[in-house]
Amino acid sequence: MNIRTALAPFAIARRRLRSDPLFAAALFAATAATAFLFALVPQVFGRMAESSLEETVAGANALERNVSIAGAGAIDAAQGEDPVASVVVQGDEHERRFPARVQEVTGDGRASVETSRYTILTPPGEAAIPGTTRYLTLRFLEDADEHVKMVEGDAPTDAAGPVEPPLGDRTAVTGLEIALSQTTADQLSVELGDRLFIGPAADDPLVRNIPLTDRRLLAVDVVGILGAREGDDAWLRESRLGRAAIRDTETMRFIFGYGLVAGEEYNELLAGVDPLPLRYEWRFLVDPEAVAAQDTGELASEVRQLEAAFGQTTFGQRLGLGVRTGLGRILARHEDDRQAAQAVLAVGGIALLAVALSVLGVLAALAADRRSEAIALLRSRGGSLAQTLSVQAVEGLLVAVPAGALGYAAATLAAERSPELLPGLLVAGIVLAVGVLLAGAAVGTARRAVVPGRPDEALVPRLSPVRIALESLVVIAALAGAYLLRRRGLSSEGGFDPYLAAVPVLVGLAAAIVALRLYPLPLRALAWAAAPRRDLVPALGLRRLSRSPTLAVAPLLVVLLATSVGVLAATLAGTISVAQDRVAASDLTPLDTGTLDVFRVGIVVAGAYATVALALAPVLSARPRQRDLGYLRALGLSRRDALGLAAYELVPPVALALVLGVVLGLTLGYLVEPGLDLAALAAGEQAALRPAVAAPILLVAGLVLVTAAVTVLTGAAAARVNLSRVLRMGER
Amino acid sequence: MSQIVCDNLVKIYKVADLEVVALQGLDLVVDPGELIAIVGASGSGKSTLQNILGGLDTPTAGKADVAGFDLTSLNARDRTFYRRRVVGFVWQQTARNLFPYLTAGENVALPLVLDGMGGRDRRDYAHELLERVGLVDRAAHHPHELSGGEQQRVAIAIALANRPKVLLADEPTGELDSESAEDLFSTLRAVNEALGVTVIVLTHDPLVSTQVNRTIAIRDGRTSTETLRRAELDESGEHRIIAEEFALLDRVGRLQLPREYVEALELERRVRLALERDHVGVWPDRARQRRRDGEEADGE
Repeated sequence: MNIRTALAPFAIARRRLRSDPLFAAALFAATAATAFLFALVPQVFGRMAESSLEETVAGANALERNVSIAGAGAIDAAQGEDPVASVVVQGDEHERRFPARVQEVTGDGRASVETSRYTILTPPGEAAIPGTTRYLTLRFLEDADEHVKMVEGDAPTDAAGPVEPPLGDRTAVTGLEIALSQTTADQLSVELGDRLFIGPAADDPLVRNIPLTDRRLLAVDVVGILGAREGDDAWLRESRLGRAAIRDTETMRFIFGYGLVAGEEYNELLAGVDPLPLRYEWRFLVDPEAVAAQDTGELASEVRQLEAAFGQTTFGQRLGLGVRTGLGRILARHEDDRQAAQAVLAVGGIALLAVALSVLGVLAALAADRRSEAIALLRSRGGSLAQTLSVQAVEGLLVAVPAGALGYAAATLAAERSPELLPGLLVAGIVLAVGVLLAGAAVGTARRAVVPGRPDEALVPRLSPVRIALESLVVIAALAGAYLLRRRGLSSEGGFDPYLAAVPVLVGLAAAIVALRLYPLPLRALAWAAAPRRDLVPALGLRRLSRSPTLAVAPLLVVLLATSVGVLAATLAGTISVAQDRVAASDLTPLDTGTLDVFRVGIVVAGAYATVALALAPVLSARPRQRDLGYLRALGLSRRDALGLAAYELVPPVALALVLGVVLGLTLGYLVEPGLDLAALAAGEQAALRPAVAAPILLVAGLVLVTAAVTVLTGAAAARVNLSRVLRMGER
Repeated sequence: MSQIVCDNLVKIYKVADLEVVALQGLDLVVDPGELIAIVGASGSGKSTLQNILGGLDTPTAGKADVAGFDLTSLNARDRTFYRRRVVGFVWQQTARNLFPYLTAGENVALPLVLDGMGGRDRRDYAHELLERVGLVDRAAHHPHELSGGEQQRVAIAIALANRPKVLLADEPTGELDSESAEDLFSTLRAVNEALGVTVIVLTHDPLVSTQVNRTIAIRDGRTSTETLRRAELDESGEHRIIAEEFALLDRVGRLQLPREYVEALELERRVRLALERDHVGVWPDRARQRRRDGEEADGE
């Protein structure tokens, strides 16, 4: 095949589309709408997952959320005006060892230095507080100035100098200035201006290994009362400077207070505690928004790398460094929630995709029907099967590519996100499917069309062995899938099983196949029963219907599938909604509420696809109907009878499709529910499956109205048929 | 060597549980460059024959050779090649011959596109073909802008596009007035003479036989008679057309008598044959006829 031969289908397909703008518009609209929908849902899901993660991270407490590098030791003071700068620089060095994604989600480190726990000694001559032990730990916090202010007195400085010991010991003790919150001061029974002598608490692990003779007192002057700056109450609470912790036993009360020292006192601090080590911590604040923007799987992996690189924290109980963060646990928890929501949405999404593709398939069948003469002509003019089908495929692609691009662009704009791979792949798949469906739907016509004028529509099609085998395969796959879904559940390691997620579709298809094979039997029985009546219309309508080729009833299979998907969505949405109502709104993430909303929208979308299929049903069978009605009108069939005939042809199969669809939808709910973790979408609250009532009734009522409208329009069109034109067509 | 040879051709269609024998042992021989008509009533099997000769359908049994192609054993690929290069079609419905969304020129060029012919060559040849059918000035018109006769002439140009050896025309004048029909036959005769293409016109209209050199009548899926038409000079020196009708004898010696002969002599069931020196005589069964006449007299 040379290039010209290969390009021939483009030229022909382009002309065909221009000559049939109505079909082109219908295919464009259906493809664009489908592309929009399936490009939007993953993006909305992505946004919901990000919001959910952002909220989970932001809602976690600071100790769990942030990354801390902590350890005990003695870092030399820096030369110059800021002796604690060496500690800050050490934090920068630690940060450089963070994996890239962890660096992206963490801000600059905030260094803190803390002494071991000290006991406040009662000065000689003063009465001790009975049954109470007061502990004081001195802390330097790099960002303290940003969050606290002195509400009374002065900020601590290095002005204290050596202090005379209280018990006449000759060795001077290191003096330090501190600031306390008013609450801490009150709890410790200390006042501004007090000088406290404190000694290392023997129960602190860092102190235990230091000989008693080396444990040195410190003298601390309370020079200031600190308070939180505006909006920094939480910071003050988390810094432990705001309030002392109190632990009561039966006989004793232990008060654990914290006092703030200044960075410029770092030299004195090092010297004063020696040989005791200091506890250092560099806390890196995690930005929830930055976490949400990351790939959670990769971030979780790098958090594990970080933990492996630094080792588990000893919380400063021993020398050496360690890391402490709950970010990995938060991510794992979120991932579990996301996978549960993804699995539930996948079930609905795949089912809806099947409905959408079946609607596009009906349009493809319509294209094959409308092009049947052109296909025959092309074949008889020497077009090969491949060339003929290429024309069909290219015709589909010429419409589907711009429609898909438009749908994708609109969805991306609506979701307010940058272009992503999965929605792009879905849209590409839909676009390709349109081309394949158009070509596939024409295979029979292209093969058969070489024998023009064969009265196909008069024959009841016989099933080929290949088709029987394929249909049996679908039924077996549906039954096996249903069994496995109930037994195993949908979620598996790292996502969901696509085969099991497609079980509702397979079961729907299996039910549709069985219905398609069986439905002519009751119709023939009804037609037989109606035959003795004087009124010709019921018997005629039912007989025509029972002999309809598969193509004519294809839209009704879409109605069946769409109704069952709508009812399934309504059942799952109802169940999730009941469970969510039982938990506090604050416990629900955007993923939980968003998934419920997606299911509710899914009901409407299923209804919309069913409406399109219903509208296409009479169009697909228009040609044989017009010819038959032409003959019947010529024989004296009234316009009213024509309307009745249209009703007999459309109403019974639609009613059957709706009833089967509702039953199937409810059955699918019971079938898939054990395999889905719906409780994960309601903060763990379990709810028994709740068959939806209102939504299916509304859905069915809407479709009944659509059917009535389509019937009236079909009947009206049949009544207005141009007899001379149609009968002439019949001759052919 | 003959262009078309059909020997004992059989075609059986299966419609639901019913078998319809459309061709029941048809024999046909056509030489290259002939212009013939195959005439038959509706249901006689002429459309089936056309589908088989056109490579659109396969025979159930028998032999069908066209231009060296054995139509009983072609695979899909060869069949496409055969339709592309060996046969051309003109159908009765003008709308079925042309793509409505292509101009006359583009319609003519389409088979060339399918065959991969280049742009300039294609345009030139399409132009030449339209010139041959006298429609070069209508090349840019769409089918709906052409009259019925013009559409059929464009269809002839399309059918000739890939230089076929055989042109099959199914009731080409069925939707035309007599003047347009005359024009169309002139065109068919012209291309037959100029290009040497074998032209087979399938029709139900016996008057078409005046337009062709040989007319083959088919009845009940078999060739029945053949009429040869030739021009002769009469005693006064003027041209006159002589049409002679022949009955066809198949390979095993079976003969189908023309219906009017059968009806005129009330031939039924069996006849008496007599071999003469230079012909075979056929007589009604007199004994049977006498017996029947006697029975009628007794009845009266």
